[in-house]
Amino acid sequence: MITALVIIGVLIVLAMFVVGIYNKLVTLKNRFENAFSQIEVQLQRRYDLIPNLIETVKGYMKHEKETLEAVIQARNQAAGSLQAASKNPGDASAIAGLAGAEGMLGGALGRLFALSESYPDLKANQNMANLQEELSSTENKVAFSRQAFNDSVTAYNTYKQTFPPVFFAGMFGHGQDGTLLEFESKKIAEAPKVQF
Amino acid sequence: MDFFKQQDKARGLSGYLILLFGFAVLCIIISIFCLTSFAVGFERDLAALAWTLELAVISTIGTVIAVFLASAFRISWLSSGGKVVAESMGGQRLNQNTKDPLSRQVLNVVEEMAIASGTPVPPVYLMDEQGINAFAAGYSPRDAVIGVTRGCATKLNRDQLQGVMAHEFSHILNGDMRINIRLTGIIFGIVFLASIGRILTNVAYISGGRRRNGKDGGGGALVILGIGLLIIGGIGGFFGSMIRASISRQREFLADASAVQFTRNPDGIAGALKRIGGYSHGSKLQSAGAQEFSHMFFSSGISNMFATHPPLPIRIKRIDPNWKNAYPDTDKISETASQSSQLAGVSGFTGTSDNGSTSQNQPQPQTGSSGQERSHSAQTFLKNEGKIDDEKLAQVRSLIASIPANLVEQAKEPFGARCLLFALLIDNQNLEARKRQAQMIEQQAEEGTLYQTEKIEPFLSNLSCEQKLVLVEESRPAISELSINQFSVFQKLIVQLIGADESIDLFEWCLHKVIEFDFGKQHYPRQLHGRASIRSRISDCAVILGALSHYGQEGADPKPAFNQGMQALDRSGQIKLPASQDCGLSSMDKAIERLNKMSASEKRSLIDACARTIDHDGKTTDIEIQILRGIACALSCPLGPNL
Repeated sequence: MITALVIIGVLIVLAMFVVGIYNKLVTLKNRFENAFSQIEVQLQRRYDLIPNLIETVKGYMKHEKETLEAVIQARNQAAGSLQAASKNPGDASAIAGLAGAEGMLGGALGRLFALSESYPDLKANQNMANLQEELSSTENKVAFSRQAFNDSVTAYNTYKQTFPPVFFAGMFGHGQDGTLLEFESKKIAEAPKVQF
Repeated sequence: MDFFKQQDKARGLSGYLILLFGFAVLCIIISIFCLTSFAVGFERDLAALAWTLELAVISTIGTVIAVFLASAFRISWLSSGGKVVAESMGGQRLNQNTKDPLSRQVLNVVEEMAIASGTPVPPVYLMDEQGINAFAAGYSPRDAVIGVTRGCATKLNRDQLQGVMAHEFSHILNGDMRINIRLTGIIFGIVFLASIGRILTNVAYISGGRRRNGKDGGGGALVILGIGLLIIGGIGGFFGSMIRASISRQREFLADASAVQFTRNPDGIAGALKRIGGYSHGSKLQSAGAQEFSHMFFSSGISNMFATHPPLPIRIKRIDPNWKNAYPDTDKISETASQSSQLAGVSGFTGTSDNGSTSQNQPQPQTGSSGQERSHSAQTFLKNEGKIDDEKLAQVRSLIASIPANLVEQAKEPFGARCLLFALLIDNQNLEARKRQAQMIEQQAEEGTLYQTEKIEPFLSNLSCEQKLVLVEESRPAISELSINQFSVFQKLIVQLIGADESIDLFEWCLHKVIEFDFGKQHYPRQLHGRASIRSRISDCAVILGALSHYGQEGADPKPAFNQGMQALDRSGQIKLPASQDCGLSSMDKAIERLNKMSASEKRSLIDACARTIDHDGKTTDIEIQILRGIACALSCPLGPNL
């Protein structure tokens, strides 16, 4: 009788322990998946800001039509690549395409800001200052959300490789390690280079 | 620096200190048992009790109850939410729509760090103080706030400000405020024992004086008990405070190390600490309330064994071991927000600054006001081209201009905005329901709400649906200033008002979605996006497009509109148009729940497809606007007011 109770007690404790491991695995996994969507949100936000920038700049920089159009084109291409990449986050070529488009956008924006330096009226414009702050903040957010994603993937991987979760991870469908997000050309999180 | 190692070290040390604290509390209980045993030894009637288990239990329970009650009282006062703390120190809440570049930068930096640390974005308060300092307050991440001094915003560059904010986010993430509040509460409870002791000695002294002529009674025991409690409480409080201070110092090291983890930039936080060191105002605060909350701040001036913060040079050395004990001359530095050079990652500084006084009265601000910003983005992704449509922008402006000015005015402040939203839901046909709604407002909302709501209501009857939605959009910043409690009362009341006539119309549905998902997201953070694809949710997409094509085409054949939307999702022909009864509000709610698991860009594709369905007949009806609005909010892809 007592042995039976003890065995049942031990089993319950064990079960609770395993449930704890399972829950922790799920929590960690959800955390990094959410972190991934943050990256997407911030990239998208960046694309959404650019039309505002063009709108502000266009009145002052009437003679720089080409540069403005280059920015718009690069922005549209990057936005398209983001859609393609998020449909297949595992597809390396989609990610590479996104990275390339991001690089082009960065370059075009850099030219735009460099040109804007020679328009004192534009530099004094409050909207312009606000937009530059917004854009640089968004760039930071892209970088930080990627970093948060990688940190949380690492936390997940580390947890499931440690003892004792290592025994259960595979059983609970957590066999695969999360992959760190590294864009091949590293251009995605790079701020546009502005030379003065 | 190896920030992960330093974090582990600080965590381990503070765990050890918390154990020590528990041990101290145990010691206090034991010494009180000894004390009471000793004291009752002087009483003839109670002498038998001394050194028995019974007395041990009684004294333990007594002590625990006294300490517990006193600390519970203190903790409940301290944990009244970070907002109270921030306001008691004279902090001014920064509005999300601020156009002041300095405030804008602070808000952006806070948002960046919220992303880096994975916590919800807290409200930010700016304090008019010269010193460089910042604090995080609140019991849990949900009700946390962050406070920044003006000195912190003007004397630090963007990277350094980021470092300081990252430090504060570590306090939020690691629950340091909670630990501190609990320890403070327990220490208060221990010191409370000393207060009891003082009362006992006084009582004994007075009654002893009265009895001096007669026989000696229990005065002696009472005096011993009182003095003993006074000593135990005093010593306990002393050591308790010391342990608390050293725990707090460990948490500061932990936060500094986490700041490096979040920003991956040791120069930011180290630079900020150096600038404090080289600043004549240092991190001093003038506000009267500041002294009481010194432990919450980024940096403090005191350095002894009760200091809540480690000395500045030690903190800097831990982050930057090569530091040569040289402080910059911060008095001469002044940063301006939004320098163009920051975009290039260059952290320069200019000689002059006119922060806060920059032009606020720009005609037609195009950014900063989030509503208009969004309106740009909405068109651009709907049309999928980067062209800005001046015409549409002007249309939005004229739409706002066409609304009576007093209504727009109401939407701009929190009380009026709430009344306005209530008024939008007041039933003007069903008198029964109207009466019930008035009762609900009277009972649950703040005083005067009903009066104001009824005053607003007549102005709304002539507005078009589009104008109403613009008003809702305009009220967003004001609503976002509500506290979490105010918001939950507000939200509950909205739901009840909607249900008052026992049916939900499309406008009510739309407004509910806007309030629950869009306005509510700052208070009830949830997972915004999942990773599902449109392919796996195609039948739910069909419900949404079906609703738009059944109800939005003014009686025309719904099929072509539906197919046009479906084409945008690359699934033309494969999915049949659902029957109209399968596209009702409740079916849409079910579909939305599943659609929310999609990734952000898939959601945008869906919204894009909705726009195509709507555009099929070249006209945008009220029904279409409301459905699209509601869906966009529920999927966390807010649109501008012009759709």
